[in-house]
Amino acid sequence: MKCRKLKDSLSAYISEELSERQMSRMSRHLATCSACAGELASFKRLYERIDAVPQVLPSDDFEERFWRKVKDADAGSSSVKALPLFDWTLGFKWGVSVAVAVVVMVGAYFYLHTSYGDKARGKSEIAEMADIDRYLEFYKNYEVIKKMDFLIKLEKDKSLGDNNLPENRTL
Amino acid sequence: MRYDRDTQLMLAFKRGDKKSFDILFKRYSVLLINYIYRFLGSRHKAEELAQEVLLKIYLAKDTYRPKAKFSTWVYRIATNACLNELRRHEYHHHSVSLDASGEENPVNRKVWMDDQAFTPEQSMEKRGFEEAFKEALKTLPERQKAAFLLNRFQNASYSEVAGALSCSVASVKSLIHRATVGLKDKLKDYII
Repeated sequence: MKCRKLKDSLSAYISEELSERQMSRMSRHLATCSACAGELASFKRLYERIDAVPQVLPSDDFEERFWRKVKDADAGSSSVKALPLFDWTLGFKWGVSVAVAVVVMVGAYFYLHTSYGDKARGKSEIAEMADIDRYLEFYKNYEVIKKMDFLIKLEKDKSLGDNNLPENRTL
Repeated sequence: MRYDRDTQLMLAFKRGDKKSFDILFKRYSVLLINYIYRFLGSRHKAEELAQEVLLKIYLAKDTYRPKAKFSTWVYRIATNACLNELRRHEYHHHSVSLDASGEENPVNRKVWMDDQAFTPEQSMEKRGFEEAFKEALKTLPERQKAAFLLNRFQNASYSEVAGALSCSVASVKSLIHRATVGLKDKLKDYII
């Protein structure tokens, strides 16, 4: 079990990717375990052979083909820049901006100038109560005016010393 | 913040210094071609994809923001390009994602080339070690292969491989170990 666990770390041991403590633990184990030491040797031989595999070099026209691609890509992007009106991305962004501006303006109008706005501002109830107060005041005044004739007559009778006040009339 | 040498070159390129890109181009052309060639096994495709990766780097100059080591970023792009290429051409029957973790799941094991298509003895007779190695690589699952190639040929540390493959260092350790065991098994006749 110990060998199995340590064997899993052989590649990391070769690449020195283990912690200092793990490296020294592995070294101690390899010094006493021929099976793991054999596995380590075969790993090292494999790596040596693999590392000796020659690199593939780019073909002669690799760089030239690359710069042709860059030129094509640049040409593609510059043609879009030259005609911004036809740039769909730009058009979409502008369209969204205009739509948002219109919505905001319409909303602001309703908010400030209509009963929808009043409701939205939470003022409708206050306004209605003020209106009711106004109507009540008007009604009181109206009643007073309506009885003005009677009051004048009453005042006149008083001044004449006539106490014949109609009993069934009250203010 | 202190950036690695290649990140500094890319930032210089972003500021308009085209010579910095030339240096990166020369440095990464060979590395990318070799990585992709060993990943896919096709020289022609390796050059094509290497150019795609380099073009992506070139076109990213305005938006580039260093979040990791430059080489980690490049190898992540390259590995994704390789995986996409494998998917596109149905080299294998099941899709594989760089971010997928279920490598041990049989459906995610690559079958680009049938494991039984050659024996070490046949390879030894017909081709030399290089060809046998190329064929052995084809039998490895993608993530094992990517981790192994990045570490062995691109000199990427385990943490850099982890960054390129979006996994933990412990996973990289396991991937590389299993790749090594798999290759040792396939190439045992060459390493006596």
